[in-house]
Amino acid sequence: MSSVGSVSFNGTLGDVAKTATEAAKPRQWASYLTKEKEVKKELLSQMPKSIRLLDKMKNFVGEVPNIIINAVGTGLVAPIFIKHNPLSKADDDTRTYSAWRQPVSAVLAIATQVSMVAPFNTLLNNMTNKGEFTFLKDKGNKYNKSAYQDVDFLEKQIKKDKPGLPKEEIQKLAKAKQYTQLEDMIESLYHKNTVKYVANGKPVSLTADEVKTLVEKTANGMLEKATDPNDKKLAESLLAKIKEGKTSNIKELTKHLTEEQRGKFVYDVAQKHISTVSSNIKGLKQGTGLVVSLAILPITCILLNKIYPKFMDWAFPQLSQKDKAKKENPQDAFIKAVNDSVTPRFKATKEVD
Amino acid sequence: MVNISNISNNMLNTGIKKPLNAFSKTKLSDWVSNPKNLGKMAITSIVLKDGLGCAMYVSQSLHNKDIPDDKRKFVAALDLTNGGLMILAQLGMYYTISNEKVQGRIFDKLFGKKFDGIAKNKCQEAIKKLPKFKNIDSKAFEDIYGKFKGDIKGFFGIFTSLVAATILAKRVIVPFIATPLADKAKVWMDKKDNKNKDGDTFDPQAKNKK
Repeated sequence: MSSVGSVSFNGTLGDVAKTATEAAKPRQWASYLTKEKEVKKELLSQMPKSIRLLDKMKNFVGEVPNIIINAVGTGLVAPIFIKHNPLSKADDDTRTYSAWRQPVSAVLAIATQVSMVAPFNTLLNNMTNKGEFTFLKDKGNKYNKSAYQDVDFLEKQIKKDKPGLPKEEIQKLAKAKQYTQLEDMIESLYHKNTVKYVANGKPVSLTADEVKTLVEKTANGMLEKATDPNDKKLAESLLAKIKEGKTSNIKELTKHLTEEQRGKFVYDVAQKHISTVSSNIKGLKQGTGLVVSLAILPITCILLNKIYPKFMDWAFPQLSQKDKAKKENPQDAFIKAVNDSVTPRFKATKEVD
Repeated sequence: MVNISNISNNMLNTGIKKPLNAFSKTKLSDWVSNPKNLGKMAITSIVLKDGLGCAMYVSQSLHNKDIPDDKRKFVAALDLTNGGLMILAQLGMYYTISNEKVQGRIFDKLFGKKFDGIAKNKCQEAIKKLPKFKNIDSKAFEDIYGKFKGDIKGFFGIFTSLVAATILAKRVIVPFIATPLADKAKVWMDKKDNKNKDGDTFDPQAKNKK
């Protein structure tokens, strides 16, 4: 059994493990993938504390921590710089009143983001991971992650299938599944000159032209990054073959390479496909995110304007002058009511004896 | 009996999936999903979202009778200066601290030595001492080392953007400058208001005075 199988297969973990065990047959590039994974792990242990800390912090970055950090900043940090601002000439009460707008707005931001933005992004993620976007025929693969799904998405799927499984086990299985998907993609690229994915529940493959573009992009990338003259030669030889139109079939194209070079190249083509899809989705998310944000903007705006003064009346009646209003002279109250209801042209004024 | 899951699926289809699919078939979707336009898209998003938000907040605050009279204009003025500065700050951050090249330079200054040639050789030697990696060749090691460094560098970029842009710029620097500027904006609003009021006031004696 290859070392790929040793990631998490203990024979008791159900379908995912079964799929992974089937995939654990020796492959020529499996050694490269395993090597990369293990060396990275070892490298981390060799690194100083600051780098290991940065690596650990990676786990705490995501949509939810982002919302929380933003809300804490708005709700707790910003008001301090409004209330205790030495440069402002506004009176203390006005600054305190204005500063409290920030925490109220932070709570509303969390509410709208958690209830609208986050579910929308989750839906978008699920649709791209499941290959549920029904796009124009020639764009079928553009936003499709079904060939290499996100670890988060896989974790949710495994959790759904095996509700009792411990979190650590789920994480292990999800990573193993993703690893298998990468291996499958590499194998499919090498042996079948395509990437297989699912679109609306049906199996689909990249066309020969799409693979040709992908291979060309990968070879161009290799050429740009090459520092070693041998690497440069290698990339140039691949590009020359593609341009001559001799072949765009990866197996034939890489015939003259060593086993290690071939493994690395096919791996790079797969990575190129994954990064292109990710980048397409990033753009789409930015566009749709803007539309969603603009759509909920009036809602948050109206809510803030309704809730903020009411909250201030309740929490700080002395600041919102509600106490004062109660003790107001009836004549003043009448004048205020008239002025509020008529146009400025006919404003009432107080009679002075 | 009403099937809730059917209703929610229908809502999902008509409310989100169909509009999304319709959007995906437009030329605009091609433009937004082109990696070359990511930068332009980010700037458009900042200006459009924050600009519209600022305009709406200012207008609503100014007309919100539930906010005490003496504080209403200052609240609106702060909305105005805060919103305007927020756009400037975000654009500034986009071209500086959140810029990949700048982040790269900061990373190299802070952690460059931990990834330089000497550190790399030390790591390689230590790894080669392990029996399972004794045959690893330099090229393969360098490749993996580069990817490892890239991962850490990528996260560092996200982290610095988060701390510098989200906390420091948006929540410390902007409100600190926006508050005194709001004093000035309020004075400007008062003047503008007084001008309008003077023009509107019905004063039968005004003609005679002249």
